Amino acid sequence: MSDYTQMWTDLGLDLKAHDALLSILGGAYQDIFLSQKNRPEGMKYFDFVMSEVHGLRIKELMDAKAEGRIVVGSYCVFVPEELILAVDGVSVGLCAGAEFNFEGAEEVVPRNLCPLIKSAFGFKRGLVCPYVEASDIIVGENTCDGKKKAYEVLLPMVKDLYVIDLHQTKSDAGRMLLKGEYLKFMTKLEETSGKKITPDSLRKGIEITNGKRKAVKRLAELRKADPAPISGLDALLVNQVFFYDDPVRFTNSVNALCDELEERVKKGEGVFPKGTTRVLISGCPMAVPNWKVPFLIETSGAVIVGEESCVGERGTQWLTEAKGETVAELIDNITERYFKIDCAVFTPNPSRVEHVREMYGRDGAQGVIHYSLQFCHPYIIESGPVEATLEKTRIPTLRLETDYSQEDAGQLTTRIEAFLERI
Amino acid sequence: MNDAVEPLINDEYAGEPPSKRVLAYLQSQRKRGAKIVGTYCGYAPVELIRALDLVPATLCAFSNATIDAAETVLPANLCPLIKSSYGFIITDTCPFFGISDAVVGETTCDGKKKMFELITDYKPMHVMDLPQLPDEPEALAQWTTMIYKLKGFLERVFERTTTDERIEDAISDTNLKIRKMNQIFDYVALDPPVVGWGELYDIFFLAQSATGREMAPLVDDILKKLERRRQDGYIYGAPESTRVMVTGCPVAGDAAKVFNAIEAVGGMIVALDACSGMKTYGAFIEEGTGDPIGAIAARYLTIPCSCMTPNDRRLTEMDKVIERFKPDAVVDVVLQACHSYNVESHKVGENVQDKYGLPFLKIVTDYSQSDIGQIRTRVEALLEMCK
Repeated sequence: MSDYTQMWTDLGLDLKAHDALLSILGGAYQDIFLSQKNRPEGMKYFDFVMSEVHGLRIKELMDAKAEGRIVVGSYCVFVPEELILAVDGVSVGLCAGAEFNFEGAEEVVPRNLCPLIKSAFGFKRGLVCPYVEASDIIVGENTCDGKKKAYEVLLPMVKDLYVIDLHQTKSDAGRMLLKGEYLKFMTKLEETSGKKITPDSLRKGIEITNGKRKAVKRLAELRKADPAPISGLDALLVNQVFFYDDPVRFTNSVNALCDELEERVKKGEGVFPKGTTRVLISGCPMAVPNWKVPFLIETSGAVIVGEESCVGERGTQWLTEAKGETVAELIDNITERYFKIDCAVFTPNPSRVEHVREMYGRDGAQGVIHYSLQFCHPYIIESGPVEATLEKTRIPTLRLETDYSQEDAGQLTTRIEAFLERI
Repeated sequence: MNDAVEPLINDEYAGEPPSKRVLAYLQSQRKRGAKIVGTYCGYAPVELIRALDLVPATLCAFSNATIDAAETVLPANLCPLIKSSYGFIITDTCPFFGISDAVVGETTCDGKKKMFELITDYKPMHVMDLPQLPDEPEALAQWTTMIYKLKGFLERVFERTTTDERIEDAISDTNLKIRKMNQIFDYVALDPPVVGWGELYDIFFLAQSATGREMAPLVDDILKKLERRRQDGYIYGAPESTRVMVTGCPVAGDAAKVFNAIEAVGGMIVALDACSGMKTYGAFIEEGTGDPIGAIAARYLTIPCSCMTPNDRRLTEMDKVIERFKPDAVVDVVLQACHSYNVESHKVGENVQDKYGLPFLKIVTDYSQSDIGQIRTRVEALLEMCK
């Protein structure tokens, strides 16, 4: 690994804290990922990306900025990458997946807030997220109460925070609101980048983004096989890297991985023995390096075969229609695509459970583990009806609620083992 | 309350919980054939309800007793107001819900929005989609549409219609009520005070359901009593009490433990900056616009609830309250797990401390009584800072 000290210093990172963070992450990665058996060769690329996630990738961002491109950081799948690419910008996810500097976060936001939000503040205030420091625009979105209000607190802490408003119901008024917000966001991107979005540039943005989505959809399909050709942890990692990597390189790497997995499936090879209990994850997003629950599941004798999550199929299952002669038509396509996302912030949100059921059948799953981040009201409340609906059609469901700490690992393992016993 | 003075509302419910009086009022309305519409929130446009000759009723949400039942379905980590509301419904113990012929909700917060999904089968129910950015130009059109949708819902359920004239009339009735209530608030602003929060709650509760015209003579009588108290040199509470403004989440029922704790340690509540208090009476609805629904929409969008972003109006409205009621200290009540008031508290604290130099205390609490001692100690420390 090269020496990035100067770059991190220039970005204003707290080097000591940042070193400590990287060393913890490196250790966790070794224990959770590299210790897995019979991993696909294609995962080496993702191991490399992760080893350079605060290094080479940040250098690439800095190089892009030097070429006059903008870096746009975001926390949510409602921020359309198509538009960012259409101004030749770089879209990156921001750090929000680890319990880091919660003391610092809790000075400005309440303690009983979801760990994802607190983590974002912990990273920002602890000066350890190079992505947030490198971003020219940080894009927030009014999904849940916690985020909506937390962005008000974040505003004075960052260079340029732009918040996209979101609808709360899947109504015509909601669709109009979303479209209006995307038009405004487009203007914002044009102003900041100094580049005009054209039908060609937007179509290209759509195609690149669809390329990523198609690649991870292909990966999702391959996970139907028994034995599973790839672990749930590795597949989750691919879905996490989705938010950080160069999109074209990412697409090629996922496709290369899928080529290999196809061979495995043909030969009947897998990472776990044939007949291993198969579970589906549904619920809140798992941002890097939030690997706790998948690790506990896969070390308890089950394999995860799909994620109904924003870091997973909720974020990637829909493509954006690339047909359209004008920017206005293409924006309509983008609006339609994002309007379908069935986040629990919407009321009512019936398509989500339908999608869980569909994935359950497609992936040959035997149970669903519903994952909620602590204090995330939309998912926690929705988990009740989701469980009831699934159980009604004899789909075994386990509801878990947890945060980023490791304190409840033992308890979670006990519950997961009991659940696997049941199925 | 001193036994020597006559209660402001001197009827058979004096000294009883204020909900009893309003329940009796609603029952008398039902006897005359009126239908009742249950509401949960200050965003429910009561003028529209009234213009359809329907009577609004605020539904139960303030008791700890129904929370255990609620937690069999809802997460424990949810605000007590939502858990209590839901618990009342599934245990069928809210008389106001029982007599409601329809229920109106709003997408204020995540908790309510998602809880409403669980109660759609009990009564005809309509959830209004509330904009989150009140200052954006689109918000007014969106909210106006939502009020029209509510109108359609109520007209369908109750098989009746209304006219612009009747809505306009309901607006002027609300404005009358606001004027009258503010005359009472002038007496709350007096130093030393002549009325406490308990008697104000008697009036607030009744005013949730009674019309402005019904309230007016009652308020005139109350004003006479208040004036007499002032002239007689009556002081509510101890003469040296510290003036406290309470802001934040709605407070009533079991949450009123905070008010009691403030009074128990020598505080005097002189401003109730919440939806359960004075917030409803903070602004008039414009009359004679020719577009009464638009006027209603415009007014309701200015309610400075923390569900709005950015909610700068909360601070500017609070400034007015501080200047009018001259508190010596500010208590921000946040119901546990209410993310929006909880996050916003940071800004509120900065505003009152930096701008007015007022001691500030945030209290996060639920409906249990287990933290009363702790709350008292913390309020005591706050009041200590005022000396």
